[in-house]
Amino acid sequence: MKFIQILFSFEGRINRSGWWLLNLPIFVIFAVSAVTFDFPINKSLEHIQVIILLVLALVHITISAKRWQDKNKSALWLLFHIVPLICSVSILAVKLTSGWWELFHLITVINGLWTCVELGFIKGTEGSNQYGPDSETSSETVIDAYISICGISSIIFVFGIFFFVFKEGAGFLFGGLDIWQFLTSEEWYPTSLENKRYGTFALILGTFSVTALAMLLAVPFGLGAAIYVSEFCSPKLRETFKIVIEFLAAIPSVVWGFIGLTLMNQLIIQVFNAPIGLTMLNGGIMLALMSVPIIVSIAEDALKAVPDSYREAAEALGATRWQVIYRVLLPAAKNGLLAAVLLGAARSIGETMAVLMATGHSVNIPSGPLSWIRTLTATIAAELGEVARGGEHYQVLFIIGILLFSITFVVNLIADLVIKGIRQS
Amino acid sequence: MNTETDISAQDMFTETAIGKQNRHIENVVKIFFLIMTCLMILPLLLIIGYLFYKALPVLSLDFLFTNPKDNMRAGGIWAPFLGTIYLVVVSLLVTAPIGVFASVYLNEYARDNWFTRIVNLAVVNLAGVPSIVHALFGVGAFVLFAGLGESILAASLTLAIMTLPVIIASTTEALKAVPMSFREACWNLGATRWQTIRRIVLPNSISGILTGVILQVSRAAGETAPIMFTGAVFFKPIAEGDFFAYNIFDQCMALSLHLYTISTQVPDVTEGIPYGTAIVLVGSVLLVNAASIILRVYLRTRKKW
Amino acid sequence: MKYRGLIIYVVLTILVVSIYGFVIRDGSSGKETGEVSGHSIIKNKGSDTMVNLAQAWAEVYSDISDTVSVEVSGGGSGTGVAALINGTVDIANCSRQIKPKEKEEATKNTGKEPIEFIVGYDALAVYVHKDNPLNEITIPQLAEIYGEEGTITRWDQLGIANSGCRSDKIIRISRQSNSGTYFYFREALLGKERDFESGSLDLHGSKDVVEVIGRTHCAIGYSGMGYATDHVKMLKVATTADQPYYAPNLENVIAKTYPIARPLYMYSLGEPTGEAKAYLDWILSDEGQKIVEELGFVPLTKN
Repeated sequence: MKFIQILFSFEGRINRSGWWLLNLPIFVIFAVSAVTFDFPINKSLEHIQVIILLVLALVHITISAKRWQDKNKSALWLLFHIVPLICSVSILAVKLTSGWWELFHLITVINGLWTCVELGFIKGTEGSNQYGPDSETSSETVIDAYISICGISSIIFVFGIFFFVFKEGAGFLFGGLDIWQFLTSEEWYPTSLENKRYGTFALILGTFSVTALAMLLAVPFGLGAAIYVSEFCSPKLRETFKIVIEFLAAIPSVVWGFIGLTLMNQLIIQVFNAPIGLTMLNGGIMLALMSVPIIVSIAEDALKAVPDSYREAAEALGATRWQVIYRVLLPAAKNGLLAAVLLGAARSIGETMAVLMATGHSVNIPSGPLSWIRTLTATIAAELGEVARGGEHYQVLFIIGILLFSITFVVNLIADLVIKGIRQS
Repeated sequence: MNTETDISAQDMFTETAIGKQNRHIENVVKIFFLIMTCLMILPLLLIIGYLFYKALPVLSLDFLFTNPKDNMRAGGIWAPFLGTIYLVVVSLLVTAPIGVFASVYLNEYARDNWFTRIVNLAVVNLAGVPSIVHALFGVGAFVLFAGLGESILAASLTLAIMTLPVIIASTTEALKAVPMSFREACWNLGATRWQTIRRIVLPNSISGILTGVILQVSRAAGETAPIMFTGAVFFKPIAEGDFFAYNIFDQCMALSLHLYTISTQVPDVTEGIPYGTAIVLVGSVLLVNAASIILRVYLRTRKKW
Repeated sequence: MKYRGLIIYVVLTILVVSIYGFVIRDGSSGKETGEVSGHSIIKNKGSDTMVNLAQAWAEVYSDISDTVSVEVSGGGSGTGVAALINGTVDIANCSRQIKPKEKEEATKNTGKEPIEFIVGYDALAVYVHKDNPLNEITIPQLAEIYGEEGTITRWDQLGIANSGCRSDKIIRISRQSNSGTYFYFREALLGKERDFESGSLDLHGSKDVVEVIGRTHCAIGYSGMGYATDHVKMLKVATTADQPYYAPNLENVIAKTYPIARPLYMYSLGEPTGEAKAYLDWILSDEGQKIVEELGFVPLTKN
């Protein structure tokens, strides 16, 4: 039986687990709708909500019918629980309250429980009966459908993210925003009373400069560590290092920001004699520490992927370990290493809390590691909370979101293609 | 000819100058990379040590179970701590089934065609979307469009979508580790695809799946940006010790946002409190991670193949 | 699976317990404020300047009244007003007065007119590092420091030798560009036509501003006077050079001689009723106003 048939056809049979698999979500949705009756669910969605509930009710009826048939009984048995239910709901809707009606509700509930036991717990006839063949595997169709829906959910989510971020920002993107100025002007005056200017050039530069600095610090250490872990380590030591790297990756970004704000701030003031420690350098160090675990783990995978025969051949020719690494491994694994760096950079570009707290948050064309800067992500985080919904400034923040989404999308895409490239060769 | 071979035979096991030099270089190189690795690991220890040292004066069980007091300058972290638990649990309930099923689909159902590649690409990109963009999405989709308002539910759903790739990735790895021969044996007995998954594949990969679930928990607990605008509040008094103090349609405090606000917005906080909050946050995240690692190692030793 | 029965029971128990926690107790908690039975929630949102004050009120009030819990969130005056327009808060905090246009929108959207309450005053103090020799400053000087294409960029232009600051460059500390504090300070300094020069450190919290200044010899910044610490110094401010300088303190704000002080507002949708009214009345009472003073803001004076 096809999934559509299970949902909407009155023909055929279905087993108990199939009935439960479909009915449980329906029960949950109905219960939630009942509980949140006057909850501020978006009013414009009310009709859609009603339609969905009706469709679900229909599904409930069809699968219950199939369950009766599974027990070799007519689908008309349905009426025993549907009719009292409809009566009860109507009584509630017209607000009749007296003892006798309460009694009627009680009958409905008992009836419902009995139906539930009858349909949900008592097995159907074995082998085929007058309504169709054995239903033993009919629940698998439902499960297969659920699994497929979950499988494609990530596509839906990615599109959903783009759609909703785009939807909030689209009005201004196509109606009034000077895109050239948006990308190239360094004047970010979103709240000026007379002359609002939305130039993100300084913010874009901020994002890229702090990412570049972070990569400058993270790439040598990350690759060095990856080489050490994959080429020089004993297996036990390797496990330990990997666990430590996992721990490093698990530290929340707000904690990195907090470290930047307190410890690193003071360190930079003392070491560089700088007036303020909240600088690009501070943010760069934090980002480096955050992206190093990604670089190490992906770079290590890439080095592992180089066949041992390469190493053996090189060593047989008398090459030292260093020569093997430098002349053989690095060229052979270069795509994977590139992907590692790209993914590390994508992580840095998208990072929010650490740069919000550690970089000084100042609209500035960066002039060196000790200058204070502001990034695209930090701008959204700092300003979104305070803008009037639907206003220009609000929409511009969503447009920055689109920009960020596009940047990381492209970087991830390239990294993915690079990795795919290795697998195929 | 003869003399030459004699010499080389003699010198074969004694070290030449070049060989010595090479060995020297090798050691230097090895130490150089070791130092690089250590420089990467050192900050972790330093930071945890520093946080712990600074937090020591306030750390106690009471710190965990009392509300922030006295204009958030004193007291503990009960309300934000419970809020984080709520956010994590609700997001886990949503994301775990979807994530596990999604990777079952990718591994066991999908054929190797362009559609599957697009799904895989979507997973990779979902993992790469910046957290603040997830926040924008949460505002647009859950808070506004679905009309959930700023609530625990909206924030958890945002976190759920954000952490979905974590579960998908580790479940996929776990499913891949189940040998193909297991499945084939099962199919040969006439089992259907789902029966094979249910009886053979999932029981044999449960450790990897649990690892993914645990990692999701640690990731969700630490995130700040996605919940800032979708459901976390600056302050909300709740009953101490009551585990049902929040309602999922209300807003809540969260540990990560609490750390941010007390370190940037609240004046005259007792010095240890932000550090204490940070160490509780880091500590619980690392504890959860450690649990996943222990589970992984333990189950690996029990592996039957 | 011989434990299957057990597992099913455990899952069912968890479900029942959580349904009890989430659903049944909700039912009794009541969704609107002003509900007589059970406990009710007052949603309070808005200005970052006032968020500590609002939080302190909420905290003390939760001891006074067992049945009410006040949910406080910050985000800025704009957020509060936006929520008021959308009808999603009971009380909005605002460190600026609501604009007529916003008032109109709120009335149109929700059918209720926002009612204004002044709940205290806030003086914005100008802070420098405690070792900075500067003691007083005028509004036009501040305007030249902060304003777009301003002429004052070095401490010696203010006639002092700031020995702690090697570069002598003034580092401007500001707030993110849509906080009520930022708006008010900009208007007080520059009027409505001029903007701040970009390149200042736009920090996210009032406390952050003071902390950074406390560590930075070159810095100047503004924040509520309640945020002062031992590491910073508050400057006396004069409207123009030939006017007297006034320190930011209670007397000067109440006498309205300190030039950078503003009222703090709370808005409710329509005349407040029930719990919200009780809460606002309590805020305006002596007890509520005592908290205003404790937090370094200026309480309302009795007529």
